[in-house]
Amino acid sequence: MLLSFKSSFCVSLCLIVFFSCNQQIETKHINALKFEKVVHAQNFKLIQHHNFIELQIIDPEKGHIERSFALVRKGVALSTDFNMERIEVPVKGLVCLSATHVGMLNKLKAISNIRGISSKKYVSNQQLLQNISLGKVLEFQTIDQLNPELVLTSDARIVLFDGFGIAPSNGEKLKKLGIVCIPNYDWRETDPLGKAEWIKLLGVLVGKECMANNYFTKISKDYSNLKKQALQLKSHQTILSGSLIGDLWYMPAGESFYAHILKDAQLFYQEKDSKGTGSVSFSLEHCLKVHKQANLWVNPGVSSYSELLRLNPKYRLLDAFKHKQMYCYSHNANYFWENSAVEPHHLLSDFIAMNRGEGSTKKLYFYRKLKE
Amino acid sequence: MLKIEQVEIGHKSVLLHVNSLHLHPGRMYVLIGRNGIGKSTLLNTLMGRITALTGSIQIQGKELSSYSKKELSKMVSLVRSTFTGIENLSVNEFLTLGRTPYTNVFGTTQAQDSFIVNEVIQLLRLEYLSGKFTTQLSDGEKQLATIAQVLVQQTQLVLLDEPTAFLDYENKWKILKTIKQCTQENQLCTIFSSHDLEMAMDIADYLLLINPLTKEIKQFGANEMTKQELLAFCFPNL
Amino acid sequence: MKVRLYERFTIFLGLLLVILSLLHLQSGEVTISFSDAWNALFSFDEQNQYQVIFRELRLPRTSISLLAGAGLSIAGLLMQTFFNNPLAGPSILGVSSGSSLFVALALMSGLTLFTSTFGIITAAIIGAFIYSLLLLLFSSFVRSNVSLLIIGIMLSSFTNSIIQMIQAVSDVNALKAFTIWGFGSLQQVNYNQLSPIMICFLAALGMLVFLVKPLNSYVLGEDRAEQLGINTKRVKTMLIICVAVFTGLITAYCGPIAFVGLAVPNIVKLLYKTCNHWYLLTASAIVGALLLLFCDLIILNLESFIQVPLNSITSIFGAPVVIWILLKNNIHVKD
Repeated sequence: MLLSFKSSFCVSLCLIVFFSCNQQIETKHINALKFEKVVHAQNFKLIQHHNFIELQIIDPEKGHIERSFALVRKGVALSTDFNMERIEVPVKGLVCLSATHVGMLNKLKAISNIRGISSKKYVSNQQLLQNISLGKVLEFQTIDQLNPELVLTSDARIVLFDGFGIAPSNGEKLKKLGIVCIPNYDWRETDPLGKAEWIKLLGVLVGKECMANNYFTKISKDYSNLKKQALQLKSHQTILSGSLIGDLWYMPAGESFYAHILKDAQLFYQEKDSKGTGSVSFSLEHCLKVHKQANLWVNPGVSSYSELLRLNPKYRLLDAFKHKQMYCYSHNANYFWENSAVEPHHLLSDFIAMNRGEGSTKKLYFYRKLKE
Repeated sequence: MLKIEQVEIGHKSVLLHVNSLHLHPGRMYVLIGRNGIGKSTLLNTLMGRITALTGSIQIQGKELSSYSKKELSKMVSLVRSTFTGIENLSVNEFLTLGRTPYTNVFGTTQAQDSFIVNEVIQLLRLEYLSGKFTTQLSDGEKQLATIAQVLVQQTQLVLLDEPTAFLDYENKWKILKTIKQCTQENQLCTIFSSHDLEMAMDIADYLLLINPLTKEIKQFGANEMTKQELLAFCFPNL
Repeated sequence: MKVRLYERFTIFLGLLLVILSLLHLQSGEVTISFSDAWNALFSFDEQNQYQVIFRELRLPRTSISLLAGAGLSIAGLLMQTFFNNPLAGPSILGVSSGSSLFVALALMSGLTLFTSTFGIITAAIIGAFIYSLLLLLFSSFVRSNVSLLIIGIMLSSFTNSIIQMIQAVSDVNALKAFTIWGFGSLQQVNYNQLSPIMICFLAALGMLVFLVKPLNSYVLGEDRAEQLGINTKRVKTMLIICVAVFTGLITAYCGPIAFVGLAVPNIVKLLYKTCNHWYLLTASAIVGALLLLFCDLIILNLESFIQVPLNSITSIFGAPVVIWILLKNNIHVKD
């Protein structure tokens, strides 16, 4: 009884979404844009106004609004009362300096909107690579290195860049050329679904908000199903992450995105109670004390045991290394960085498989066992 | 002691030549000639640092070129006027370094070495200096210390390149008298170059004069010449 | 009387070194019992966490701190006496950067022959040797102490640019290995590397014994040393080999460590006020080891708050020494 009610509710919900979307596409001149509320993401907000959507980017460090933008349809006049930068949507051309956005635009079938990226070295998407070689997409390195004139010739009107709470050094110049810079904080989201939710922002920008909403609804469901499955696990593995950089070992902090996923996969992570949303660093001695017996070790930064030993022979002292229980995404790092943010359910599924001890038998999405 | 026969001196081209010179122990020779004529080159040749172009130089009857560095270090020494003192080096340490040719491979000094150092200190009456650092000495004391080090080295042939330069009148006398005294007491053969003509003529036993026209070095007794004759020989353009 | 005072002071420093070494061995996140430390050396149990930490982390770190401090200070003293310049030292005159360049070349080459422990030591020593020869060549053209210093600094910045260019074209992992190495660290040595390092170190020390007498007379200048019967050609060769081995060996394992080689001999000269290299060398080795142990103890104790690179600590001690020497020399000129 309850089940049928639930399913019928779902169906009707889907229908409503479907019709509302269709309606939007049909009536081109409607004033208001439609979007679904942002639930998981902490670092941006979409607010419906009379004839535009307000996009607020929130500084994750201080928690206040860093920038706000007015997303409007072409030709819609905006009251000057609002002190916001105006962005006319849909945006045809944009520069996205973050790999995660490439993955999101891919899900929205909007790779062709990309006019610029940071560097070809970090691209995995075939279509994008092709566009780069055809000269349709330019490489800009970082926001501070990017050449405003080149952005103008590339026909991009938006630059999405990884924010650090400060305005980009050439932001003023770009503004005068009519190019809007939007800081991206998806990498500061601690909730795996929150990170993926940034697809909604890209959806609104490229005029595919429905597609974005549908996608997000689907993966949230997948994610929570997997999370439930993980709860059924009888035994739990201990896990260790990262590697030494210089003399310090960097590990995901207890409130970070990664710690979140490990928790959702029911893996036991010794640093789960550490403070912070970024990373925490420890001496090798601490790692040997606390993590020597960890069953699993992920993200060592390289894809083979021999490379790892070459970086530091002391790694062999850890049990996970000795028993060859190490996983990484380094064999295809670009693919990982492009897609892991927008496919948190796949990431979770990989970790659950590792927890089950199926890491070597089951095909993983992002991870591989280290080679010899 | 020192025999020079038919020798031509210079780096590549001939600067000076000597027909025949025989120098003896217990005598003090002064080398006089105008600037740039090759006094230093001559002293460096006698040190074995520059080889003579032709001819033979013999010390104690043995060819200079057949001496090893070690043997030579017990035979010839050269004092320059440029000693400015060395940080943290005491006069005593400085003098002891003069024993380097006689110590073993690790430089260990024996009782005999310190005996010789003390002897020289007494001879030159340097007791009041021995505890000081070389950087604390006056210019005259520095020159005295350098000479003392050479005496500690116990070479019979002692060459001094303008030992009295940069010194005041009193110190010049003191240095030259000390050299004279040591030459006689220790039976050394000393050659020093100098531009202080009167003083040199007064104190030296022999003059080694360089004629710029013939580029030849000739030996004269200190009493054989008047100052005018000497000037005419060495500085004919005057 | 004075000799006895020197010896007593040296023994005192030696005891201090032993105490500091023990303190260093004891510092860290975990407390290791004496029996674990003993067993780690003589009946090692791989499963015992404490023994592993002692044998693989603590012991190599303390040992290399001692060797690096001693080696670099000795190299610095050798260079100071040889160039007759109190501002000389392996890092400031660019000898370390020579090692770095050759290590970079070896690492970037990717050939196993060069990337092995032995390959890297050899590369570092050859680099140091070539750069010492270059310095020797340049030093015959310049008179002033400061000119040689400037040449050294230019030599290092020139080399560092080349290294950066090599880095730009090399693969990510080699790059990672090298950049980390460039910070200077005492934690990169492994237990099984200790004996080859020790052997090289002792060999160089053995050669050093024969350099003491020449060095003492070199104080008077090369010219006078030659008059005193020193075979300057042979001494030069031996000296450069010694400097290259000490600098290269340490640079290969710890990266370029700044200022220790320059500062320590000057501190020792200030304490001992002698030119006798028996004392200077022994004391430089001990004080150098003390200084580096002390710097590393600071790092160890700050570790939980901030990560401090070794070079920033050594520079804090070293840079003022350079300024002090320059000021002192200037005052002398005015006199």
